[in-house]
Amino acid sequence: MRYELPEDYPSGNCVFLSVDIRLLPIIGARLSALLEPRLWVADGYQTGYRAITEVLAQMTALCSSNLIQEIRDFRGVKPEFESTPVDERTSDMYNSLNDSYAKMLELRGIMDDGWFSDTYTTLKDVVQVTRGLDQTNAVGMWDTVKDLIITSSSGASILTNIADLLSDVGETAVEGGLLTALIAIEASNAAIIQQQTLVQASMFTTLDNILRALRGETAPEDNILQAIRGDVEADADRNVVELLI
Amino acid sequence: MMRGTFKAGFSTEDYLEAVALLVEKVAPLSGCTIVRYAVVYRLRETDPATARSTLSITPLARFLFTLTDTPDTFAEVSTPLDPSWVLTDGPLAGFGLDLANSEVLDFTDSITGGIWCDPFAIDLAAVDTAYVVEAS
Repeated sequence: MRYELPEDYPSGNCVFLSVDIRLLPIIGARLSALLEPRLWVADGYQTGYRAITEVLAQMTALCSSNLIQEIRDFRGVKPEFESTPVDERTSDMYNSLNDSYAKMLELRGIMDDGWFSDTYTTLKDVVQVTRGLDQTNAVGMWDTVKDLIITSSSGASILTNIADLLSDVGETAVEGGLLTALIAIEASNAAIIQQQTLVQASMFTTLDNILRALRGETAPEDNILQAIRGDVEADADRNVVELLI
Repeated sequence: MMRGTFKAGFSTEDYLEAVALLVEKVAPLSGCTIVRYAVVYRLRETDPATARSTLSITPLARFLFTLTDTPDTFAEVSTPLDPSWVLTDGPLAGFGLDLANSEVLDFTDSITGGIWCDPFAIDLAAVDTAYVVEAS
């Protein structure tokens, strides 16, 4: 009976076999027998030869060493051993998963110092704080902005609100909070301008009423000042008041 | 043929009985008819198994060449080994051959630059690796 590889060869399912390098010359020599045509069925010799020579070619591939180095590269060498030649490094010179985990926690930073364990900042926390739209940050500012826009606050109350916003460290000491504070101040400015507009309109109305009272019901054809002073214009020796007196 | 080793300290009858019991188990599995079985004693019970005489071991240099038709296909060529070809440092020290050695280069170049091919008439492209084998 002769060898014949199955129809599904190569299956793609491989085994990982570690062989001491001192054993390889012997195993390699024994595998040579499998290159003999007499061991294979006539139609299967080429496939068998290809399969065995592929195994023979892998005998110097050092897959274990390469794999170990890949894992070590992934772990990263500890800073104190960076100057150690790669060939002289041992496993303990590389970061462990615990080291990497601790570094990751360090990068995240502690949000709350707990009695028994610390609470670390999550990405969600960072995003929420940056956006300033979460439920725990800048809520008071958004309420202030809403009041400024909807209600007609007095100038004094607007300034008070701005002062409160800028002095509230808990709300403004985050990036999102500062952004919200800026929006609040802009809203306050808009409210102040609106109030100034209202005051100006009221002054115009008052002046109009005064002028109506001076001119009477019928509007004069000439202007009021000319009616007061008469035909003689004021000069350096007399003025309108003297003329009236 | 099947061969096994017993623990020391039992009688011949014990060993033969154990073999007979095993024969009953093995015969249906193999479909063979057991025609003979025996128990053989070494000179001493604690004697280790001894290697039998064989041909002498001959170190050879094995070269694997890639083929031109398909990636990851190879052809094997073995030659007598010059010990100076063997790597002396690195992870393959004592096993791998120095492909940069001038004599090795001459040899591999003559193979790839010549009229050599694999057993199926596929041209050889380049040397892929080389190492020591201990043939008997």
